[in-house]
Amino acid sequence: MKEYTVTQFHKEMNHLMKDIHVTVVGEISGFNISNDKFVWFTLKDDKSAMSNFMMKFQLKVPLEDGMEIRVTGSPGIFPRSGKYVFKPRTVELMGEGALQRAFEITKAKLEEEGLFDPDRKREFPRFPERIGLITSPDAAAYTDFIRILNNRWGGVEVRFFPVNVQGNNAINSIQDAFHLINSFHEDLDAVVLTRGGGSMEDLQAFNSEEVARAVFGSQVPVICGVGHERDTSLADYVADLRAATPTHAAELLVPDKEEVSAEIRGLISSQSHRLEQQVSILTQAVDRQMFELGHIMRDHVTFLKDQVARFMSAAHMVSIDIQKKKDQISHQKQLVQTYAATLVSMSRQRLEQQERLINSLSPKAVLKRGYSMTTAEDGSIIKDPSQVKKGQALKTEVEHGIIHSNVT
Amino acid sequence: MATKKKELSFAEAFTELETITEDLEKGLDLDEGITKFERGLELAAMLKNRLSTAENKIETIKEKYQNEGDEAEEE
Repeated sequence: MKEYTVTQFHKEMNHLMKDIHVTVVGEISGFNISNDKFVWFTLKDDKSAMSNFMMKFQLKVPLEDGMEIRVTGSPGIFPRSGKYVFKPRTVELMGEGALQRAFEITKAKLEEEGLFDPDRKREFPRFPERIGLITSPDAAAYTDFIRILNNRWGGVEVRFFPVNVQGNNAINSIQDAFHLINSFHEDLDAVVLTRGGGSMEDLQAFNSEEVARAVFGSQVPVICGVGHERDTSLADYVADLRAATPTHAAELLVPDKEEVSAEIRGLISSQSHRLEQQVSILTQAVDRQMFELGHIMRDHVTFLKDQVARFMSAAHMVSIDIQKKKDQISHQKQLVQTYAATLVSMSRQRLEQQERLINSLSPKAVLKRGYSMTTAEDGSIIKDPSQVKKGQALKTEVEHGIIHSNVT
Repeated sequence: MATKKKELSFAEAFTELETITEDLEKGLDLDEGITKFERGLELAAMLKNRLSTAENKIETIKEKYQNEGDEAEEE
């Protein structure tokens, strides 16, 4: 018989066991995680127990004592302790109970992290143009969604990302779809993640932490409609908007063209009413202005007429005045003329009188009476014989001439 | 291709129509009001036409994210 050391024997056993791939089911007990890395739990049925060991990063579902689970992996021995363990590669929850518990645990965890936070929910455009659809091509969800979409609205570009909505590959395919969208389809206005109803096991992927985080991390707002009305998956909680069913998702996503049509009619109607109102208001205002203007014009005309009348009567007074003055002036003129004539004739009379006087006093008149005037050579008048000498030449003026003589 | 008003998206056209309604509510000079109303009618006609004729287009995205780095470019 071959002899082994303990180490060798363990190594041999491990070698034999590593090709054993089995699935074992049982109930968890003694679940714990040490060093935040090493996961230990016991899987048991009513008679037996089996130790399980795995790394934390390998564990994708929350586990709790009492849960029924399905583990797939290989047995092995830890050489140092000689402990026989089962090393699961995958862990699946079994039965409503386990799934429900896992759901509650994950929900609490995500809620605490803020993935359900209402403030981070994004708005959707009222009239989307490009939408992404993530669902199974075989599911009724797909046909329902598309049918309602077509009934309600048109002109939308739908990019369909086919995925598995249950089974082993569901989580990966959904994560893939979101990766694609984030990388190359950020121009989408919205993404719809949907599937029809099913058991908790069927809906598992949508309650997984991975899918919830994928929805949360979507760069495009997400409408999630998973299962029937009363089902709310974790993906539903995380999504920007929650729909009860695939049909409801279509109703949330696009408006109904009949309603929009009616709304357009309504807008036009209120616009035209408003305009009519405005025209009516303006017409009234114009009428009022015309009315006031009429008044103002009439008042103005009255005023002007008044002015003219006053002017006319004033002008009349002035012309009477002028006439009076004219009469006065001509009267004065007459007086002046009369006075002047009188003055002239009086002057003439006086002048004639003076003339006569002068004439009567003039030596010539005296001469006429026979007298004579004798003057010396120097012109002086002789009034006295003493003035003359003998032989002096004298001039004697008589009426009709001059006599030259000498004194004897 | 002429772009002028033809390229207005449904959302933009609808928003413009709503804005016109608001503007008219606020009260505008009559000329402006009539001009805007005419534009409103134009928009309404365009929107109604789109509503009755536009079809949805569905396209399946076949690319997978992992392991298809280069081919994942989709247009």
